Amino acid sequence: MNDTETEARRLLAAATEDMPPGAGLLDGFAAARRRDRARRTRRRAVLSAGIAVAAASVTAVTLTIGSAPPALATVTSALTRTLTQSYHLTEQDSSYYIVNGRIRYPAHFTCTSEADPVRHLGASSCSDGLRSREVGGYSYQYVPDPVDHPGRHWQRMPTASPGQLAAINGFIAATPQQMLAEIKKAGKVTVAGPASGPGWTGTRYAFTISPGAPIKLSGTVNVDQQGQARALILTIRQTSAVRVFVMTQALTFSDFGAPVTVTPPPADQTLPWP
Amino acid sequence: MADIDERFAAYVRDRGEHHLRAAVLLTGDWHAAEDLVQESLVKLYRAWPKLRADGDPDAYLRRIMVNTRRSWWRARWRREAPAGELPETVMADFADGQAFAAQVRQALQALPRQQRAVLVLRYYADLPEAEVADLLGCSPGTVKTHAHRGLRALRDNLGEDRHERHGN
Repeated sequence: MNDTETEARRLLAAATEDMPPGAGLLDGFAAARRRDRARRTRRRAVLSAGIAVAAASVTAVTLTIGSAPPALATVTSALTRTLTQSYHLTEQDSSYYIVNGRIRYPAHFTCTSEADPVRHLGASSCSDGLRSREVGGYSYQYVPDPVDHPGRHWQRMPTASPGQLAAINGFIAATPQQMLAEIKKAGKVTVAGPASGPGWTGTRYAFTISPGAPIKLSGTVNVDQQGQARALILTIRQTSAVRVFVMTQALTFSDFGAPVTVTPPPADQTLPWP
Repeated sequence: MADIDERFAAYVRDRGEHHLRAAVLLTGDWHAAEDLVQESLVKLYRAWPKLRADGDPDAYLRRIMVNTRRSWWRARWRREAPAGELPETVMADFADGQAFAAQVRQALQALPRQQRAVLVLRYYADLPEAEVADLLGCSPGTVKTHAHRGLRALRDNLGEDRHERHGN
């Protein structure tokens, strides 16, 4: 066990030292069990009605997707096209909390990736030293401090979702593919103005997604004149009674169709799993 | 209490406090922790007759707690404002050790949900990486990544306070 892990164990133990006296779990359990019995009885009573409502909801959702607005169709089509060819990706991720009007716990990562979804190749490297690769049907994740297996920095596992880089950052929705899935649910997509970058011009689209309070997702997608997504910014804002959490991921795509070369890590540095 | 299986009652008396402490690390405050443990105990009790005599109720309860906590989080995403987080001003009223406990929990709450769960299961419940991975439905590599980033973020969030309190 290294010093950092020892410190973590001490900190977590210290974080429970203020347990209130007389926490009577058994007394509370008896009451919780009575509430559970009552709730289960009520649930049985409304179950048949719930099935009818669910069937009606499926019909409504199907109708909504069938009449998707043109801007949404343009954005999802561009992202789908971008994510089905090889590309390079620069990603800047930042997050912070607002507590009592002050920004707290800011965090920032930068990652660069290259991917070839058709050949199931990918490699990613982040500013805090974390890396991943995907090649030959396996995903490899770099473990900076392989305490249990010294020298074997690359943990190998079968690729769960072919063509997708392993989500290696600590945020909630990390991959472009996951973002695309969220954007497909966008309630509102509008043209936000012109957009341009090195060697391309196009249009910026803005979207908002409201899965329900207290979460709100918003962002922009830049689409070039060839119908490819060039940049994607996604901001998640979560508001609670005492603080606001804001996380932004800014993705810039480039080098479409460029050859991607990824090699597996040396065998003597690899730890197969399972 | 008479209608509760005596073996179950003995288990709660013996292990309840341990799980309550783990729960407060996951939820951030004692009220939510007690709710989480109570709800999980009810689910465990339903399965209790089916648990083999040599089964591991700790592992079963831990899985229930993780899943229950996850469903709470999803429900919160959909419809509820988060509650039970400690406002910073509350800490000023705590005695020194209590204030530090609350401060560590607040730093822990600032971490992404999955990172926090990894730290609690790995370094408080002391589970091996493979078991944490199994509980959270991810790979051991992801557990390592979350542990690495979570530990670093926890240290950053606590800053110098962690040295002052523990003399590291």
